[in-house]
Amino acid sequence: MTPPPTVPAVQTRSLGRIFGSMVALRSLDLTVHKGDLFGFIGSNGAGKTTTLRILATFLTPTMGTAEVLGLDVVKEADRVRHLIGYMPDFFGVYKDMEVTEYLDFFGACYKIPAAQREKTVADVLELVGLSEKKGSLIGALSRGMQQRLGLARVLIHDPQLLLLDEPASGLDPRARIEMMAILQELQRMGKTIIISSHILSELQSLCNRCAIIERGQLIYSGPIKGVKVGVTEARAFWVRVAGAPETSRELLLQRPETESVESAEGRLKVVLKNPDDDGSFIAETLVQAGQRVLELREDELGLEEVFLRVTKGDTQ
Amino acid sequence: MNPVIQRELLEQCRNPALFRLRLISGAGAIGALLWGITVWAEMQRSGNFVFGPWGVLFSEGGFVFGRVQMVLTLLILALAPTLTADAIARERRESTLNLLGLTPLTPSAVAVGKSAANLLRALTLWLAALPILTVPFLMGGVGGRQVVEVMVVHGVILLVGLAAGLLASAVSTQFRRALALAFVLELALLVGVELVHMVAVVGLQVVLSISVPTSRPMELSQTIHLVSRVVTGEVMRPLPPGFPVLSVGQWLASLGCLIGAVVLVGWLTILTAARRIARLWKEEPVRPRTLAIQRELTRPVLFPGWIRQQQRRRLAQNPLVWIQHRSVAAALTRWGWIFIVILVWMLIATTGGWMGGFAGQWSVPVWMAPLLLMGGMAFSAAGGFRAERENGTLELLLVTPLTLNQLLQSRWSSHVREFLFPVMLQLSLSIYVEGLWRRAGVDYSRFNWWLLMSLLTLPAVGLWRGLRARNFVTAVLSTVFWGLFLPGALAMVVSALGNPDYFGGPAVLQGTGVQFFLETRLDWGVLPAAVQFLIGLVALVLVRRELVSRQFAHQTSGGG
Ligand SMILES: Nc1ncnc2c1ncn2[C@@H]1O[C@H](COP(=O)(O)OP(=O)(O)OP(=O)(O)O)[C@@H](O)[C@H]1O
Ligand SMILES: [Mg+2]
Repeated sequence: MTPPPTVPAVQTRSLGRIFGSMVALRSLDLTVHKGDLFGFIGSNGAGKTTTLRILATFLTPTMGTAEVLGLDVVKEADRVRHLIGYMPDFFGVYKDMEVTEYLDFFGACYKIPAAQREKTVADVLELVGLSEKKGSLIGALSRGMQQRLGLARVLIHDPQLLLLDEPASGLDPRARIEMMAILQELQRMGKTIIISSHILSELQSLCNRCAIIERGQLIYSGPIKGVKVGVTEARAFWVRVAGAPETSRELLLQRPETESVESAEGRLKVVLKNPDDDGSFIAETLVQAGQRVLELREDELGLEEVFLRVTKGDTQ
Repeated sequence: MNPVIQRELLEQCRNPALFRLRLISGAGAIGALLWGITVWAEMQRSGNFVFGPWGVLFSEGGFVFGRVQMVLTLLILALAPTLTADAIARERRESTLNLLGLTPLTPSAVAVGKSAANLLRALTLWLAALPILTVPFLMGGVGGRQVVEVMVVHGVILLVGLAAGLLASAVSTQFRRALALAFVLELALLVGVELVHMVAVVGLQVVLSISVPTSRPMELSQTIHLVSRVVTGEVMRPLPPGFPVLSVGQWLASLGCLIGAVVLVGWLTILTAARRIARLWKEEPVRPRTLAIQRELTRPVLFPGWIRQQQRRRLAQNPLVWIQHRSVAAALTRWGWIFIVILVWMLIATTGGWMGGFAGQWSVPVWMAPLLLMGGMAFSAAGGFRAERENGTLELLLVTPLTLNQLLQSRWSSHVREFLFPVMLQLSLSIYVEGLWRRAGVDYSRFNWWLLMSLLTLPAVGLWRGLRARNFVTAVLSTVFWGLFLPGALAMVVSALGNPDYFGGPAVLQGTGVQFFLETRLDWGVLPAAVQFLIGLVALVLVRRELVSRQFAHQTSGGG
């Protein structure tokens, strides 16, 4: 039941959800393409979990529609459930069960035939690197292992779309890197992955696209590299030269492309008038004037910084 | 002041459930008061002590007191452990216990603080219900000694219940398990108190020669079995002929022994709980050893191959049924209930006309086993999906292709499996006994219908209440209310309306079809069963709505 390739993995139209008098989500239009590793970013209470729960068919939207691979999450919930794997922001494990029993149980819930289940369980355990722990009781696993077990559970019925709610929370740096490696592997296998988080730095290197929501509203959606374009008006470069920077500063200020030059921490920050300029003139000017350029790099706003600028810092 | 007590009391002020509980017991007391006065006035007017189905109740002077205080006693028995059963378990779940461990507080300070705060809490509940007891007292026929005895025993049961809850709470992190354990411990501790009391009384007679002038040292048995006599309402029963009445000194001495016994047993229990807390402070939260033992216990012993095959088949059919069956707790409760039914019947058989014999609808053997079973069913039904909600798997299960029907059916079938054998045992034994003793007026049919219908409908009611209620105790209480009490009360009202003697004239429903139906002697049984059936159906609809609306979801997250 593979849908035609033109269908986006996720498409929501004016999606909204109200809890009593609390508007958790308002008019969200989100598109996630197939094969994306999609970062879903927002501060506490922004509505990430609510969105993922709706996509996972756990909650129904109050307003608007949501489609997963072209199927409506309300009307065709049964079919959608086979296509998605949902990992909530808590473990959801029976502590007195063995690892394989647990996966076997969920395999049966997804109606995987018994003959096939054993192999599938072994495969997903291999993938998440839990093979040696397959006979252990879940209660005795460490936090990182339980998290990986949660990921294994999500994969048990080979879903096309993974909805992961803060999969790296509470993991140590090493476990986090391992988790990210697994996710990249899954993306290579052709799965679409939506991963919500507020640990931004790791999404930056991991995801290709992202969305930022704040108080239930979409603020940005698009390529993760493009986030900064939407926020910074002008492009800027950092330059470091041997010797006193004053001469270089004068030189650069004379160029028509330059908006302003400030010096900070022994370096110069050159802001351009036109964001389409590539900044190559900086090196050219300085070298021609006999200055030794030690360092030249573009001023990239970290995702973290973008996040802080975009969101106004109100959490709910 | 002990900071644990302070914090507990502060929390209690904010707890709406407790406030509601107090309100309920107050309202209940006022209701009982009005009811008692009406009946009393009616009795004065007609000079007739026998009317309606309540006739038996009022035929003796102190009988009302005996029965009313018995209800109160049973309430204390049931509620006291629930007050403390979550005291330490919750601190452990929320890992605040370890924080307490970092403060200069000692383990015993924590244990004592928890008990003392809950004792105060329980006392306010008891005070709210006290007016019930005063009514029959005003009606006359109740001696001062009896009142004191009853109050002492109430105190004893309260203390024992609280101590049992506390100890259980230190053993298990899961509230439901802690509560079940607390009830078992409560019974064991009561037996312990009785034993210590007996030894003390006999010792007192021998050593201090505060003795009755007869050759029989067990003469004081009227006080020795005080606790069980109060529990069963037999405290009002006249003493057998030839039994000497105790002098004030002897009576006080024997009560003193009882109080001493409960202080001793309660203190030991609290100390044990404190030691357990001290151990918990040193230990890792998850202990692989216990988990490993559990795993050993769930391994099939007999015909492992066949059982595995069965399990696999069940897993394919409905995974949820499979998961309900694989737990140790499920197996233990199943056998536990069979054991309890057998125990009750052994007591009946060995004591012959035990506590009122078989005659009359209010005699102990008639109601004991069915009532215990129904209470157990309500407990287990209200706990359905509790584990899934607590560990968050319910959210996962609801997004699998499993249908709501499969979900509900799994709960229903595991409930029926848990209670089918004990209920069948109870039904067949009672039908057999009824056949034997029919002429003596033994009538189990009303309870049997009720019991059977409870088996079928309580899972729906329990699930519905369990999903609505915030905490487990409220869930159990409201399951009891909707699933058991309401049908019973409705049936009583209807049967009173159809009874010609009840209001001293012709029956209210005289001449209607209902009247005829009521005379067929199925009144008491079929009526509640029918109401239960209706409530069960409604609950089924409501529980589906609840699961679809996911109202419970907000409370589940944050497990892990
Ligand atoms: N079942 C519910 N009932 C009432 N309010 C809810 C419910 N679920 C979520 N909310 C509210 O909706 C808002 C959005 O919550 P949501 O869980 O989606 O945020 P989030 O982005 O996942 O936050 P976090 O980063 O803390 O996980 C919050 O204000 C929350 O209190
Ligand atoms: Mg969240």
